[in-house]
Amino acid sequence: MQFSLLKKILILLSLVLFSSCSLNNTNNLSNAWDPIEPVNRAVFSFNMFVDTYTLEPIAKAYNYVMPEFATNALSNHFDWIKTPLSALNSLLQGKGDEAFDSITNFSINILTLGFYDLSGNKGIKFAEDFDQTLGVYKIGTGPYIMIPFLGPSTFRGMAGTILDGLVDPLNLLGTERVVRLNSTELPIKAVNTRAEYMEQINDLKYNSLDAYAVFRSVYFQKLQSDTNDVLSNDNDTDLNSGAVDAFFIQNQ
Amino acid sequence: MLSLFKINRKSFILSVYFLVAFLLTSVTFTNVKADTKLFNEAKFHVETMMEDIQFLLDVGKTDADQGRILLTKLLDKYFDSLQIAKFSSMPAWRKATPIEKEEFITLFEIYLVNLAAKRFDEFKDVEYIISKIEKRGSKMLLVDGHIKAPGNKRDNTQVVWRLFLNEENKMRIIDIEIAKISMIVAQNDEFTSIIRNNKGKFSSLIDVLKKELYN
Repeated sequence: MQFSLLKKILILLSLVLFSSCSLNNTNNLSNAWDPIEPVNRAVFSFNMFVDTYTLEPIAKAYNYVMPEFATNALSNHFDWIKTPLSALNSLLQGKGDEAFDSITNFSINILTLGFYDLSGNKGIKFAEDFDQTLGVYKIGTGPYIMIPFLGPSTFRGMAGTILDGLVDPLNLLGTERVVRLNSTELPIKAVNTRAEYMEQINDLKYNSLDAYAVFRSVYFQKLQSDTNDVLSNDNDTDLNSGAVDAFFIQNQ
Repeated sequence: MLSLFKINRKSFILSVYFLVAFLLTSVTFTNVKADTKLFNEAKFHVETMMEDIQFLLDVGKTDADQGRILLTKLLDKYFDSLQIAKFSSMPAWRKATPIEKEEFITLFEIYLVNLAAKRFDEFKDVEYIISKIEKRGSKMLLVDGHIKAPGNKRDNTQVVWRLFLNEENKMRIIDIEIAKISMIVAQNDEFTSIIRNNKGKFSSLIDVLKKELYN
């Protein structure tokens, strides 16, 4: 058990160190660093194959069978279950108010296990994780990596996921329960998320000339805006706009 | 010199101060007035376009061909397809030959119509609420707002329109950011990737577009 924890910490440290030492050798607007692109493209094709023949049809059937309120209730529940972790990360990112709101929402919604929002703060959801927290502390994303079945990530993202798993307050329930909970919820969450974003994902998947490049761009733009909400103190209109503005102004 | 006009030094300095202050105030006032005019123009541009999109979607439901004609007109009226084509293919655009550029623009305009036909569905039966307008540099404006569609998944989605004053001083849209994802950045990443994977040849992008549009 101790060895396993030590191993996790060592992997984590090496991932963080690699991410922070890495030079962002990017040549695209979304700042994606993709040194193993051929491998990633192969894994992406595999993931798309899996999606086309399993996840997408299941999600379509799920969308057909499940009423929208049920899909929303499940989404709310999955967000709710991650709220303590999000609150912890908000705190580490210096967003005290957000952490307080998260804990308040979590406590109120215990009554419904998060399936229905009793707090009256519909639409206000915080989803902070260690990937963003490391980003706030100016640790680079490291190389982009496409993980079989799980999708896109970066070295920092993987380190963040390990950290999230290590410090999730849900661990207080006991390792066995958490493993059981995660193994039950993960497939449902995957189908629910795929069903929820059916139009958007299919638009990128089927209407792109190079779907791999578009998915990568969207992933990095999202990552950048999630991290930038702390780094830019003002209420900027859009968080990627700095790079986009510079791009337009330079190329005028 | 000052004694010639019987003005003492103190009065002269005071007069200069007043003059400078007056000029600065006038310049600021003129700028504010110009900005307000631009902001109103940008607001009007986006609002009328949203109305036109709703009309277009209604027409498109019953008559696809007519919908497509209207869509082409709408893109021409509200968007700057030349700038979008240029920015989407930077930095390779700079190295392209004039013939390649011309061919690319023609293909890109058709591609853009196809893309818009699919993406404008986002705005079907929704209301767009403008929350603020910002100026970026001397020629760019951001119209920030969100989609209002109670009970719909798209409710509260942030949508930002990036407008640009073109060479003819006409306001045109060059980018849409939906939920903080810039369409032009994604487009640029896609085109750059295609060109890079084909030994940096701009013509490869033209070939891919031709294949997509005509096969």
